[in-house]
Amino acid sequence: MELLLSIEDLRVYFYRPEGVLKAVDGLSYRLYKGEVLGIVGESGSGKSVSVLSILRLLPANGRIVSGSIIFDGKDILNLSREELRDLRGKDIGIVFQDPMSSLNPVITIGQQVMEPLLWHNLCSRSEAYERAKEMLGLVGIPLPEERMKEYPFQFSGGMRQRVMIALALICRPKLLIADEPTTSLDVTIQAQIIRLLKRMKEEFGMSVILITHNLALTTNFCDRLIIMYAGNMMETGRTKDILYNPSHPYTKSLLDAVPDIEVDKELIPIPGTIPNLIDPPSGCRFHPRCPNTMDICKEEAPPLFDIDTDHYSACWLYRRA
Amino acid sequence: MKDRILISVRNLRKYFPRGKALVHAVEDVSFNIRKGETLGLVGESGCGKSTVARLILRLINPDGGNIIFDGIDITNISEKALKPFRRRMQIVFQDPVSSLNPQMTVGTIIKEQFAIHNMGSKQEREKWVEELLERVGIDPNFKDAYPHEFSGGQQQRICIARAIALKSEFIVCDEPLSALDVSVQAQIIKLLEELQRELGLTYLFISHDLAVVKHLSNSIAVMYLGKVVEYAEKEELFGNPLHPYTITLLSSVPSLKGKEADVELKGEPPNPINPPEGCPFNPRCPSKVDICEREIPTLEEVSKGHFVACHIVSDRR
Amino acid sequence: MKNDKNKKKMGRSYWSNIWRKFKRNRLAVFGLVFVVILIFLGIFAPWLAPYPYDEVHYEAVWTPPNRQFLAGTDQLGRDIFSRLLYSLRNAIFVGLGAQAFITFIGLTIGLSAGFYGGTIDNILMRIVDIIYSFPSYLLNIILVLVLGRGYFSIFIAISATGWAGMARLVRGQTLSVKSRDFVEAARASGASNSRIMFRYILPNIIGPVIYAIFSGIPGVMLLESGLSLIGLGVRPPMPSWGLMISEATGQFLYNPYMLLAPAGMLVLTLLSFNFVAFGLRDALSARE
Ligand SMILES: Nc1ncnc2c1ncn2[C@@H]1O[C@H](COP(=O)(O)OP(=O)(O)OP(=O)(O)O)[C@@H](O)[C@H]1O
Ligand SMILES: Nc1ncnc2c1ncn2[C@@H]1O[C@H](COP(=O)(O)OP(=O)(O)OP(=O)(O)O)[C@@H](O)[C@H]1O
Ligand SMILES: [Mg+2]
Ligand SMILES: [Mg+2]
Repeated sequence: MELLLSIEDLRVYFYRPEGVLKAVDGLSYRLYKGEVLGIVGESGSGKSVSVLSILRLLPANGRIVSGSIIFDGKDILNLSREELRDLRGKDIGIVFQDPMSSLNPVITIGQQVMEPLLWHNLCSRSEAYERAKEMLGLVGIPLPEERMKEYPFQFSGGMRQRVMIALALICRPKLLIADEPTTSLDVTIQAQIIRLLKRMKEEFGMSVILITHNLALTTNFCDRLIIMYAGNMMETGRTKDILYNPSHPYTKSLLDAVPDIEVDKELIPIPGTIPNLIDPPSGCRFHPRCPNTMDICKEEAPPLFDIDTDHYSACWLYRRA
Repeated sequence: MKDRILISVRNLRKYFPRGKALVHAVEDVSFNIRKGETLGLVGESGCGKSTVARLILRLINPDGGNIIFDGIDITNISEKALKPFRRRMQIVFQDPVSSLNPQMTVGTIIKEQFAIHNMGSKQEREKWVEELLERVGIDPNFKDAYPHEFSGGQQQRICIARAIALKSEFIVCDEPLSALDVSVQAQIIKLLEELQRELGLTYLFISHDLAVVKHLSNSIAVMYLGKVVEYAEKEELFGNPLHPYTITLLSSVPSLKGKEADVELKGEPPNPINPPEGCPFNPRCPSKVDICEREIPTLEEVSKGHFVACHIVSDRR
Repeated sequence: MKNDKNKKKMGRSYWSNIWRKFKRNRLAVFGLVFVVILIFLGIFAPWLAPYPYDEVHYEAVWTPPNRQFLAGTDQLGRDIFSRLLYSLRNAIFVGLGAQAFITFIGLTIGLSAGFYGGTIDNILMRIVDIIYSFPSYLLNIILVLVLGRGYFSIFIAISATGWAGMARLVRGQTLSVKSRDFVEAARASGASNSRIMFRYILPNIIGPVIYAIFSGIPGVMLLESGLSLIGLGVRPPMPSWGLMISEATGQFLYNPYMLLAPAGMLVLTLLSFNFVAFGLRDALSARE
């Protein structure tokens, strides 16, 4: 398999009046061509920040303090403005959680979907029109030609998210990042969108990063998962291995804490709350809530330990003697 | 005792004016909640779930139908006559930040309940506050702290403490978990379960998370565009869903077990200002027949305790 | 919340948070110190002023500032320093008094309109719209002409037009607080309307109202000076910055101190109130 994206020891800090917030603190992973990677974690675990870094789209008070990001052979952290612009929208498409605020309310849907093609000078206006029409049809907008003349407010939430996906895919990117694309939508619409993403992935063969806090959403879509907690990677591996053979206590606790529609089980809550990242717990960031805390967990942050093929866990329980 | 009906809602209706048009927020909603049990109310965004909750609590007045609380029709009684009932029902909202007055300490927030109903002396109130905070898992030493000093999960616990302060029997939970971190949701579910067991509480639990609803409820009502389209005991509804909307809804819920959704919902959500003729679901229904476009199906009992509003299901029998 | 470090911070109210943030803003604190000093000077002007404001010294007209007359004298030989203090006193009384009146009316009307809604709201807001549709300066002038010159007329004229803005602000704030869930929760518990208004809504809108009061005071003072400038304000010999400025303009080339002193005081006062207002705005908007 060919490597598309490789992130090494990424650290992203936010400078706030109260102190330095370590939003992502030492994240490393690889993404291969045609692969679907799920990044799962609770609110504030650094999922969005980690992918916004790939596009260098961090807010002004956020800084990548160390690490490297290599995308398709290019060192993202050393790109010029022009090269970055080329990357965004053309090589990497992104779909955000809120489809309303991501679309410009005063420009027609058709114009918005055509724009990336025109910005990047990929084709003529008439060809862009044809391609936009085709793409809107592909993402399941009925009568695309007519709806291209409409404005975002005339679209329902689910339809807007389809437009966002069309917009992200119009330049045939090598990587599609979907940041909680279904969180604001109803379950029925959520199922439609996930199915659409899957179909698009098969159609275009790009790589996908799906960010979500809902583990169940990854089961039929993601090849590999990264479980994040408080800016750190806790566990990574193939989706099936993580869901059926979780190794990290956080992953296990999370699986025990969420109800599932298919199984009746006793819920076991995780005690405590998510830590404050300005003053995070020492050692392993999960240790104050962990059922298996040992002395070393409080002192030293665990490295990734090998569990199985392609399955790693950042937990001292797996240290070899 | 177990089978006594605490809340009964009959053909509830509420329209909101929007410009010149009317939003048919709640069109026809009927269900019962037995004492000590939980009714789960599910349906897509904007189908009228919160409006039903606010109608039951008489925070807004219905345009039709009846609300019967413990055998007494409270639909049209005056605010004064309602006050004793207000003591018996409470609500927990989705957003804990907006649910707590930022200008009051959490102790005061809970004490307000006693002040409104003139209960207890100053010392007693203080003692009750501490007991309540303790009960929901908040250190009573923090009773003089302000809401913004707590995490979302803790704030939701404070809202729950306020809701049980008056020893109310009935609590409406309007998406109480949606604003919380996944790992904290289970804590709140647990707390709600424990309180129900200990205090014999009755819940109306509104949520769009069907897994949670399934976990917590005894019976479930599925709403679509202001109407209850199916209503049954939990096991029956999940085991034998009959309404086409319920079927798509259930199969859309992702599961860790990895089942694939087999039925996809087509079309767009309808507009509550201009609801479709006939069955509200007909434009998106996979098994629609002629009559669905003409006649509004009524909620019929198709088997014991299982109600469905669907022409096809009724015909099949 | 679990550890002791956070425990120290517990029990810090909304207001102490705002005060903490306000204090961080140097200009605002300076402004506040000046405001307090100015109010003090204004209130105690009769005791602090070396001369009565209308005492003429024919032997000493147009005296530049010296030991005896700290800010010099005017064309009638009246002590400018004393007149400045009395002007300040009048400005403060008009500014604070009218603003208090505006606040009271605006709060009452805005709160009722926002809280009760429906017909009450419609009627009250139509009145506000009507007042808004007139140019307020013109309305002020007309009112003063009708009522006759003097501080009382200015006070009435300013209040009569000023309350509409406050009412609008309060109504908007009330509507937004009213839709918050804690108000619904209080209603669901059976809280009475007055309880909801005074314990739930009022404390939550008072922040923006205080900001509006502070940012409104300079406007009121300026209006008073403006009216005096065109000869519609106070009745001479009662001093006012506007009046003093208008008397001084003809003399600017020969006796610039006559203009600089009242203009300087006016600017200083307006800036002080504005800095406090800006500080308040920032402290109120930055939520942690
Ligand atoms: N602009 C910002 N300024 C300061 N801190 C920020 C900013 N954006 C994000 N953070 C902080 O960085 C951390 C990680 O945020 P991030 O948005 O990546 O979380 P997330 O995992 O995407 O969560 P969610 O599920 O809520 O989207 C959080 O603690 C957040 O408070
Ligand atoms: N006060 C109101 N004025 C006008 N329309 C309203 C009002 N409250 C609700 N509505 C409308 O009534 C319909 C039902 O709203 P409701 O809030 O009950 O839906 P819901 O099922 O709770 O949705 P959600 O899952 O998004 O909370 C919506 O179309 C909404 O826009
Ligand atoms: Mg995010
Ligand atoms: Mg709702």
